[in-house]
Amino acid sequence: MHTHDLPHRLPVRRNEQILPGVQYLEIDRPFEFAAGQCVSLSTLSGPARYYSIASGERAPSIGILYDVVPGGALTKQLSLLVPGDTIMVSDPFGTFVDDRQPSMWIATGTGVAPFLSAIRSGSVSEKTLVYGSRTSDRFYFADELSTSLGDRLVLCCSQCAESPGTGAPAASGEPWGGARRATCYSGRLTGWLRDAASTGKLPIDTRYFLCGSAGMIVDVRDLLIASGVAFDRIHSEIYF
Amino acid sequence: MKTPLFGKTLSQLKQITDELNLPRYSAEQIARWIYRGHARSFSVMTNLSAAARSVLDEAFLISPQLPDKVTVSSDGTKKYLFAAGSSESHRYVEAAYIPETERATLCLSTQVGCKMGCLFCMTGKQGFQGQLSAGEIVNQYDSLPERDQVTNIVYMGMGEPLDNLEPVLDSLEILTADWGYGMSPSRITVSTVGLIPAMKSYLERSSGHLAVSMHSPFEEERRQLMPIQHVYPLSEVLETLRSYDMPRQRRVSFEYIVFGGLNHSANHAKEMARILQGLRCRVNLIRFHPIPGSPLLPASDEQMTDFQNMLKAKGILTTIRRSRGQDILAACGLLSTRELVRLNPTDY
Repeated sequence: MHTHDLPHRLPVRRNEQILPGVQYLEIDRPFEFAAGQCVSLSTLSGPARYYSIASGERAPSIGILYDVVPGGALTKQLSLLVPGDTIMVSDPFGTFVDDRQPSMWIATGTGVAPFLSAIRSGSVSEKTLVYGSRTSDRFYFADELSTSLGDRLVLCCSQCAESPGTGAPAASGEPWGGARRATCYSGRLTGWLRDAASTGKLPIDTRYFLCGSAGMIVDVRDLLIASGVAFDRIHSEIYF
Repeated sequence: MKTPLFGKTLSQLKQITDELNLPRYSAEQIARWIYRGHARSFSVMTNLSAAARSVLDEAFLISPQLPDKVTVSSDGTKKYLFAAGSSESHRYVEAAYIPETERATLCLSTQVGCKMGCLFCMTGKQGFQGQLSAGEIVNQYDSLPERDQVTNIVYMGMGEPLDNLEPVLDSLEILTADWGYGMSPSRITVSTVGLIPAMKSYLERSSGHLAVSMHSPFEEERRQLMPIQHVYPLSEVLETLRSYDMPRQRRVSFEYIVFGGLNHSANHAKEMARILQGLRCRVNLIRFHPIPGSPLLPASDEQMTDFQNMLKAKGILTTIRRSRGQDILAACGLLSTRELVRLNPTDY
């Protein structure tokens, strides 16, 4: 079965806006998969694109967290689907799959999806998720993530003004994304990584899993390599 | 604001002429003027009626864009800088003109930046800023001062061509159609990291050659070099290629950058022979041109030659690509407009 084949025609169960421009789609789960894998999706008339599965391996449904891209070939069509509409789905594919060994996860935006799936599948211990966003309201499912990871969830908000460059929880206001137990860092994700590297707190011998924009992937990868992480320990899931 | 016609295919021009109530045959006339005739205004299109020229001039323009800058290598390679998008977007791409004794190759770009994030490529380091239109792709050929000397075109510049499929296919149609530039498809090669669905479309809808970035025959090692391996593994790319009955005039090649101490062992040669068995193809070995911050090393000339000999001994047709334009950062993997692109503030 090739990744371009879409053998499953499934009804949409849920398709809700999380925040403007970001939606969460659910369909019944017709197959087994490993957290970190993807599926290709298409509407009856649109092109196919692939998305990371965001739901847990044992959940009854497949969940897809996606950006509605202005001018995008498919996501506008996806965003208009209502429960009962038909969507075409491939079998799961991809090898961006972590195991139970200690790992550092790094994500921006909807790139958190494969890690969300892993957490929902029970892969929590010895995992640290460093999650970057421009604003504090764009940490998707942050409350759920922090409940599972506690302070091993590091939220890096590049445009948040309070407590710049600290590792302390936000000094005022609501927890970012509702994440009550997370470590909050006012600054860029790359800033947190640099700070961690300069203070000897960035693990060198562990594996890193990166998921997000092309720019983030290459910048973070360069930073990790410069900090002494072997390139064969860095796994990247590009979105395109 | 006038709509640019440069970069439109014949069917797209027919839509326009239909909307303007012009005779249907005028679309092909316009196409031939723009591409073969290099017309820059409608006034020269003397086989169109004056009324038709006037109507076209009111709503459209022909606007190929000259390069902003050229840099010349000591080996004669030229690197051209082209603006892309609007003047406010500050986006640029580079193209390389590579003259040799018996041929001259144009290496053109298809995206501003690239999303594929390959570990060895400078273009990937700038992230992705946008797609080129068919017109912007073809413009790199049309505006080239050495256009009439070009014998071969390779889509191996900035970007992953099959991540910009429709404009790339349109550009190929313009380059090869009789109403366009009339180039032979056998003179054109499109390179890809192996986006399988788009690769199938390319094979089905176009006739040019295909070059697939391999860089290692081992899946895990390829994963370390090319993130796309997580999504479309090499084994599936090869399976897809085997499923096609390639006409003899269509060539499939595998690009293989040789990294010192990494991917040029006897085991690599053995594995390549195994996975390529029965597939009519060739392998093009490429020197690695070091980029800032990369942990990868170049191979020596001896290592390159030894590996080539190993592959040949196993019956694999193998060439070593001559590095050109390295002193002007035009060689494989070095194209980048990172310093020129006005990058959006990052959110990470």
